[in-house]
Formats: sequence, C-alpha cells, structure tokens
Amino acid sequence: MIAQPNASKYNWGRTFRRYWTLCKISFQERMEYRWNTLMYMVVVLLPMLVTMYLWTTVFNSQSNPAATRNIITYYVAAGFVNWRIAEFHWIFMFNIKEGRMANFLLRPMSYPATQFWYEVGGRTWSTILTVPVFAVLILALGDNFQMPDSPANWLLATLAFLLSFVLNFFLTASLGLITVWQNQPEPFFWLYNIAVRWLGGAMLPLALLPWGLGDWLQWLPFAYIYSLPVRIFQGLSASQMVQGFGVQLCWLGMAGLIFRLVWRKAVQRYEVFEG
Amino acid sequence: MRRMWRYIRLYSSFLRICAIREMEARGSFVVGSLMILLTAFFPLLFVGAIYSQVKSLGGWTFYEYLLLVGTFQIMTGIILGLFAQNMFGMPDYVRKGELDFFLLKPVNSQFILTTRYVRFNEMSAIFPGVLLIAIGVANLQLEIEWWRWLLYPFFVACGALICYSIWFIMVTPTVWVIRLETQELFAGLFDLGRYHPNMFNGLIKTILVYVVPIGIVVSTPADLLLNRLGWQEAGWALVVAAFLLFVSSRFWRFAQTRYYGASS
Amino acid sequence: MSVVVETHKLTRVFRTYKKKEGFSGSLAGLFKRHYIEKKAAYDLNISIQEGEVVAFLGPNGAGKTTTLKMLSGLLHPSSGDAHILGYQPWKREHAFLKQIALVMGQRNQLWWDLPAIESFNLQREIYEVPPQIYRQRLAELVEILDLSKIINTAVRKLSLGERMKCEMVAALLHRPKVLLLDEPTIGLDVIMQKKIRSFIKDYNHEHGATIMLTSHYMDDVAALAQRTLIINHGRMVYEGNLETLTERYAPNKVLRVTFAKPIASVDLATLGTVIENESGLARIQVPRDNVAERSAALFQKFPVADLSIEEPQLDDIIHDLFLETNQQEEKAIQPELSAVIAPCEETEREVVALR
Repeated sequence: MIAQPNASKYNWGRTFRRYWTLCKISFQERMEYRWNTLMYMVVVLLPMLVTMYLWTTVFNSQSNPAATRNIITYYVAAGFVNWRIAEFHWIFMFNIKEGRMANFLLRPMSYPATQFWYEVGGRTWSTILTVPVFAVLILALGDNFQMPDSPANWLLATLAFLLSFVLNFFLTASLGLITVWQNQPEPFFWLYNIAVRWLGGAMLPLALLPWGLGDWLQWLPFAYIYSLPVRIFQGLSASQMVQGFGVQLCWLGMAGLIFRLVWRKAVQRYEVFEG
Repeated sequence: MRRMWRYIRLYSSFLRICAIREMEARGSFVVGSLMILLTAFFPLLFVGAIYSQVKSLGGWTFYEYLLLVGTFQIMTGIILGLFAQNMFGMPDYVRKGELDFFLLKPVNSQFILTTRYVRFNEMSAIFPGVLLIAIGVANLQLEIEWWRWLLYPFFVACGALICYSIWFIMVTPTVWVIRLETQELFAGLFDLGRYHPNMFNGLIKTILVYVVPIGIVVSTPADLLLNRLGWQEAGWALVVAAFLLFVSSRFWRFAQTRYYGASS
Repeated sequence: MSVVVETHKLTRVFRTYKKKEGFSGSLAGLFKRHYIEKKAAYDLNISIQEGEVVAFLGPNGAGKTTTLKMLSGLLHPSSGDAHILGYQPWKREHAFLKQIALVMGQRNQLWWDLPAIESFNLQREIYEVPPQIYRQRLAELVEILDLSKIINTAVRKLSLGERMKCEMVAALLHRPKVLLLDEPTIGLDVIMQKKIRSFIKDYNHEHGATIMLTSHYMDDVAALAQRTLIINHGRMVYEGNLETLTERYAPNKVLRVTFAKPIASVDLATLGTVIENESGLARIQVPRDNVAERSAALFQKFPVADLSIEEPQLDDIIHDLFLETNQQEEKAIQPELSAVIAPCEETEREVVALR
C-alpha cells in the first residue's frame, strides 16, 4: 500500500515549528543590527519625555499632584506600547513593488503569516532590549510613577496589547495591499499613522481631548491599537474593562474579515497584474 | 555663477519629473492632498487639550500658540515635500546598490541624493498652516509690520535648512551601517519643534536651543511675527543653519570614504 | 593608440564579520565579532589600450565586480594604483565622470514609475549634453535599438530586455570614452543577449570607446572581447585571447569518427585516448599538434564514414582552470584555512553552481 499524504488533517505542529523558526531568524537578524535598536529607544523616549514634561508643568501650575502622577504613568506606558506598533503597510508595499511577493506566494506557507511571525520575532527582541531601559526610567521616576494595584492589571494589559498587535497587523496589512491597485499608496499610510498617533492616544490621553472628542473616539479602532492597554494598566472598572475588550474584539473580527477580503482580491489582482 | 545656474536647472528638472510622476497616480494625488489637509489639523487637538487646562503656557496664550502650530505645519509641509522621500530612500539606495549610480554622476552627490524626489502632495500641509496663522493673527488683532512678513519666509527657510542638515547627518551612516533606520528618529526629534523652548526649564531648553537645535526651527519665525525675536536669537538661527549645512556636507564626504573603503 | 587604463598592483582587501550559526552565535556576536579578511583583488596589473574590448571572467566572488568598481571609482583600493584616462578613478573628478559610464545588469538607474524618455532627459541635464547633439544621439540610439514604441511607457511595465536596452541608452547619451559593463546580459533571453552584444560591438567600432565587461556567459566574452582577463580569488590567472587559452590549457583535440562497422577500442588505442566507442561511433582524444597525421592514419587503417575534429568546450577549459587555481589557493592558505574553512567552501560551491 502506498502511504497517502493526509491532506485533510492540518498539521498544526509542523506549521507552528515553521513559523517559530521564522520568528527566531528575525530575532537573530535584529541582534545583528544593534544600532537600530538603540536608535529606536531614543526615538521613543525623547518625545515622550518632553511631552510628559509639558503636561507636568500644566498640572503643577494647577497644583494637582494626582493628575501629574496619572499623566506621567500614562506617557511611560504609552511609550512602551508605541515602540512595538509594527508597520506592515510599508513591508507589504515594498514586497509588492519590488516583485518579491511573487516569490513568497510560491512558497508553501502563507505570506501574511510569514510577515506576521517574522515581525513578532523582531519585536520580541526589541522588547527585551527596552525592558531594562524602562525599568531604570520607572525607578528614576519613583513616586511619580503609579504601579498598578494588582498583577491582574499587568496580565490584562498584556493581553490587550497582544490583541492590539494583531488588530494593527490586519489594518496595516490591508492598507499595504492597496499597492496592488494604487502605485503610490504612501498618503494612505501617512494618514493611518497620524490617525493612530492622534486619535489613538499616543500623543495625549484621549480623556484630555477637548470638546468631548474622547468619548466619540472610543468607537474607532485607533483607541484599541494604542490606548486600551495603557488604560487597563492604569486601572479600569469591571464594566469599562468589559466594554473595552468587547469593542476591541469586535474591531479585531471586523479587521480580520476586511483583511481576508482584501487579501483575496489583491492576490487575484496581483496575478493578473504580474502575468 | 554658471555652476549655480546649472544646479537650478537640474533642480527644475527634478521638479518637472516629480510633477509628472505624481500626476500619473491621480487617485493617490487627490486623496493624499485631502488627507494631508485633514491631518494637518490634528495637532490642534493637542493645543486644544492643553489650553482647556491652562490659560497660558510658558507665556503663550492659545491664539499666540496658533502661530507656532501654523508655522510648524508649514515646516512639516516643506520637510515632507522636499526632503522626506529622499531621506527615506537612502537605506534602499545602499541596499540595492543604486547609490553607485548617484556617486558616478558628475554632479555633487549630496545634492542629487537629497533633492531628487519632490512630493507636491505632502506640501499641501502648508495651506492649513497658513490658515492657522491667519486665525491666530486675526484673533490677536496684531498689526504686523510688512518687513516681518518679508523676513518670515527667510527664517522658515533657515529652519528647513537646519532640519535638512540634521536629517541628512542622521541618514548618512546608513552608507556603512547597513539597515540603519533613522527615519523615525528624525520624526521623533522634529516633533519637538512644535513646542517653544521657553515652555521648558533650563536643561531641556538648553538642549533644544544649543545641543540639538530643533527647538529654534519653528519658534524663530513664529517669534518674529509676534515681535519677540531678539537679534541674538535671529543671528543664532542663521549661524546654526550655515554651520549644520557645512557639517552635513563634511560628514557626507567622510561617509563616502568609508563607503569606498578608503583608509585615509 | 594610447593606454587608457593602467593599474599597478591594484589590491583590495575586505573585512567581513562572520556570524556563527544559530541563536547562540548571534548572542556571541553581540559581544565579540570574528572578522575575516578576504582579498577580493590582489596585485592586479592591467593595461588596456584605447578602443580595446576587454572581458573579466571568473566565478562568483572572484573579484570581477570589485575590480570594475575600483576602476570606475566606486571603491578605494587597499593598496596599489590605477589610472583611467589619466585620472585616479576614486577621486571621482567630474571631468573624469563625464567620460565614463557604468552599466550593471542587475541594477536599475532609470526612474521606475516614469517613461524612460524622462530619465534620458535628466541624464542630458546631468551630463550637460547640448540639446541638439542630445536629440541627434537619442534618435540614433532609439533607432538602432528599436525603442520608439517603448520609450514612452513607464519603465516598470517594460520587460527585462527592454529595460536593459534603455539602461544602455541612458549610459551612452554622454558618449563615454570608457564603458564599464557588469553582467550586461544577465537574465536576458538568447535573442536579446545577441542584440545587446552586437550593439556593444558596434558602439566600440563606431566611437572607438574602450570597453571593460564582466560576464558569466562565455558567448558574450567570445563575441566581444579582444582580450580576456581571467580572475579567481582576486588573482589574475590568465591574460590573453581565448584562442591562446584553448591552446595553452587544452593541448588536445577530439576526433569524432563514424565507422562503417564497429571497431574494437584496442585497435583505436594506437591513435590516441579513446573517450567513447559505441556502435560504430567513437571519440578519440589526440594531441593538438598531431591531429592531421592521426586523422590520415585513421583513414588509412579503418573504414571511416565520417570524421569531425572538435575543440574542447571553452566552458570546460575554464572550469578546469578555476578548479586548478582553487586548489593552488587552498594550498597557499592552508594554515589560515584551519581557522576558517567556510568561505573557501562557499566559493567552491559557487564554482560548481557556475557549471
């Protein structure tokens, strides 16, 4: 009897090992380029510290120490998240423009998953490097930094962050695929990045936005890429937590569907376009 | 003079080519311009947030601050439009070996590398900047002398030159450190330009004015309009611009020797 | 005739960081890095006359491109000296740059999103070609290369061959006196290769330009080069034309005989080494000098139906030459080798891949 390849059963173990290798490779690659990592650290810390300082003067002038502590904690946590938001739109664009995507499509593994896991490896490396820096920063801030009350905050914030990473992946990857239709998609990327920065809470806490904008922004996906993990870290009530995760999961599902759709269309289009 | 003329002609060639290039992708051009216009107002959120808490920050009231934000937007438009794509492209030129072509042209390589791509699209950020300044000036009921308006573009150009030089100095090491990604570093740094150095205390102020002079890029022209610019500050901006440009070209020359592997 | 290119003991040593395998290797690399010195070009003495076409031949990593880069001014030599048109290339004086052009088969210097004509116009501006002369040259090149249909199409939509033709035009608009071509026909189909080849040849004839090229394709070299420099491990292993190479490194020719009826190999052995003998068809290796005499003997002794005399394949000769020099190289660097074996293995693998 000839052994039949078991096509119906998806080999999760093998798939996992494959992506794990990918993850490790990119991890190693990042280690080779140590300068970048150092550089990013400055990139994130510098504006963060300056903005933080500005708010501190604002709240100090009102002699409101609680608000001061709050804002400092916010910026430190947001800085940590900021650091890890991956930019898949650029990666996808370059791969399409330079015709590399064709090579990837011919491999017996999913192209989006390849990019995803590759990035996970790299980001893990930069996380490992940043942790000590932020630890020192937090120590230096002393009482000005508010540690979460319970370990549950750490855990849930991490969970929210991981989900936000996936959400960001779906959105930026979909954007990157626009390249198949639009030869110069950069403006779309800029818009997304700026929206995430300003409407997602990277530049300032959404609660501080004027004209009650913060309440409206709770319904857009940007808040769930950025500010949700930070807010959880700072402590949310049970109902807020449920609402936060609920909306995040909704957006995640929606973004996942959008990505699937765009991906399918894009591959079709890419095949025509290239052939 | 002949040389100057030659570079002007070369630059107008770049402008022409880039205009053609952008018009090819009409969809992106229209959408891009609209988006840039829209996003240029985001920084207003920040200003709004701050001034909903305080009346005055470092001696700046809301409408005065609009002049600063407006100038910052204009600067953003100039930087993104004239330099960004060239700077972003540098690591790619090195990786794909295209740098070789630039170096073999009988033209100053720094010039051709940093000015080749112009994006008119991104330059549209200038319009909302102008609008913000107009709003600020109107609400402050300022009478600004005509010569201030004349000098304003000059100091904006000075600021742009400072940004250009700093950015190019940051990008230059890509030539020998492969895969150095400094774009975000500059973006983060440039972002500090949205504040006036006076809003900070001694140390940060000193850094922003003297060490990494990104703080004077936007504040100098804004101060000029508000009649707050002293001779020293004005002179300092000029000196910094000239000095950094010189340093950037020197550093580039040094980088080339590293690229060629010259030991001396 | 004047000497256009002259080098004296031109040498280039690269220092590369060698990463150990795996994660622990990366970790170790964070702290301590092991560097390897590799001589990409070693003691090269080259002299090229005006109007000559010279080919650099060698396996991947032999130092062809490094040499070409030093001669164009993109690389600074570690030691030694070179002069092209009287200039030291790495000073890259504008007067020098205006007289040379470098074309790289795998790289693109045209504006990707735009029709090639825009790149040409820019090229004119950069090299300061007077408008009238420019128009005339462009028209000429467009006609020769048959580009009129594609010159207004965005470069990204062109095929590799069409793009290469446009690259050629961009490189030749300022009519360089020295043309450096790095793998100009790489990836092109046979017809396109031929076109590019004959175009280069014509350019050389018409304008008396000095041309240096590297190529993997033996046909390029055979068709174009008056002289060939074979490089391996950065050293020059042969210099001269290809015919002499055949004589020197392949002292034998092969007689390919069809007999009216099968002949035993033992009987043929008196004529030369029998490579093959099967059902009336035989291949016999004989010394180059004895070909006439042995063929005559063949006709006398055996019932020959057909006879042809074959040169050994140029590819084979050069491959043998590379292998031979590789072995010499390995002997020479044996002590170093025990420390770092990998790079040599790599070049060896590449040599095999070249086959």
